[in-house]
Amino acid sequence: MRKIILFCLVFSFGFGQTVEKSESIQFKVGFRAKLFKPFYFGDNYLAKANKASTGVGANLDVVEYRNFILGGGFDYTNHSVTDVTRAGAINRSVLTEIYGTVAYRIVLSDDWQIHPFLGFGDSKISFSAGDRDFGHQTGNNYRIGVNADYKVDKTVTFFAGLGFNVSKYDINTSPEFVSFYDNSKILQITLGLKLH
Amino acid sequence: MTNLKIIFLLVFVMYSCGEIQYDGETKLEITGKLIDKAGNPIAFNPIDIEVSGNIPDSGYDLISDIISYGKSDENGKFTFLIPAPKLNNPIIIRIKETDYLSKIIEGNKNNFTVYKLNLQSIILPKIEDVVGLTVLINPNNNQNKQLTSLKIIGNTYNQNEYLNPIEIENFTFETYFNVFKNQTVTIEYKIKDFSNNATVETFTESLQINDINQNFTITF
Repeated sequence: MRKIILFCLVFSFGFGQTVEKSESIQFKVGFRAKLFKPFYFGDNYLAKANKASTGVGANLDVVEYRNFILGGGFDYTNHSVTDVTRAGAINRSVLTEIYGTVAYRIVLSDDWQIHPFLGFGDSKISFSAGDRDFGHQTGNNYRIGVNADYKVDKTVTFFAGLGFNVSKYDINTSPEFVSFYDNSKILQITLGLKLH
Repeated sequence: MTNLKIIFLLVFVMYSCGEIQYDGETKLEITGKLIDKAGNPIAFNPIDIEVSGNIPDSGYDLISDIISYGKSDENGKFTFLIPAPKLNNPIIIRIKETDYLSKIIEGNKNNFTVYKLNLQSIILPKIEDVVGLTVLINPNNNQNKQLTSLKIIGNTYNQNEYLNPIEIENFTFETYFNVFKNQTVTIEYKIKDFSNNATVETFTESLQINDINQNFTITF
């Protein structure tokens, strides 16, 4: 996780500007703010013992090389607990994910682009009841998806995306419940705004 | 203003220290089945799971969390998964009273095997099948004698079950017992006589239990 944050920090010094390093490698910063609706799959903790709210997130594109774009992102989703017998008497599970991405830019027209992407990073589920902390679970997340960008003007682009996100969490529990707590599978439908 | 911030910080730290801490990456499973005396499942009986402890450095100030709650299912079975307390706090299973008597089972993380505590079948008697027997201890101002043991032999129901041995102060006894109706129980007790080389004498007395609460007085 530290490496990803460091990566994003180093390259975000150039936020708001475009600097061409060479003809093929560009430090090109684009900031995406987004809302997403998560849909959970499988017999796992987030899918069966929680109800998700709309998530929020942000992404930063920092380097472009031959249409490949390197960046990173942050997703935040709040969940209300629906099954106390599996969660304990907590009322909130907050999923935060920090990840790096590599996307490929496909230009369809002057206004439209498609960006399929792959990502990898850290996941964390924090458990709480009111202001009480009931610990957290950490793990890794892997994601694949695509964003469709529509350029409104020189600085603003609207985008919609579809992504599939799998996380694997650290867990110590009885063997029959390991598979319930050690993973999550999420389909994300995203709407957002990109600033160049 | 700076002092105010420090006070707020201290209050926050004290408040945080006064909470039971949990490990979210460790989930403990507690499972079992409620049945009646005939072996029939007791369905939809409420159950609480509580974690308790002492506030650090405060002596015996107790704190506790109801860490889970629910009901037995239609087959009398229950399964709870709770975040593990970071310390070896007492974990208390409270089976609440309905038509059946309540039960409290107390253990801690040491009682779990591979993060699981299987309580197997827990027999709860119907309230109407049980009466209370209170043993009154009357030393009769006799400074030389002391009750050292008290036991009820018969069909009794223990509402408090400790999965680990508890330290009982010398000469402190349970004096209230749940006993089943319409039976004869034996009350066994021991008296130590300090005026006679601290000899210990054992007494047994029979008592007929009917269908109302009863008292029994030990006089020595």
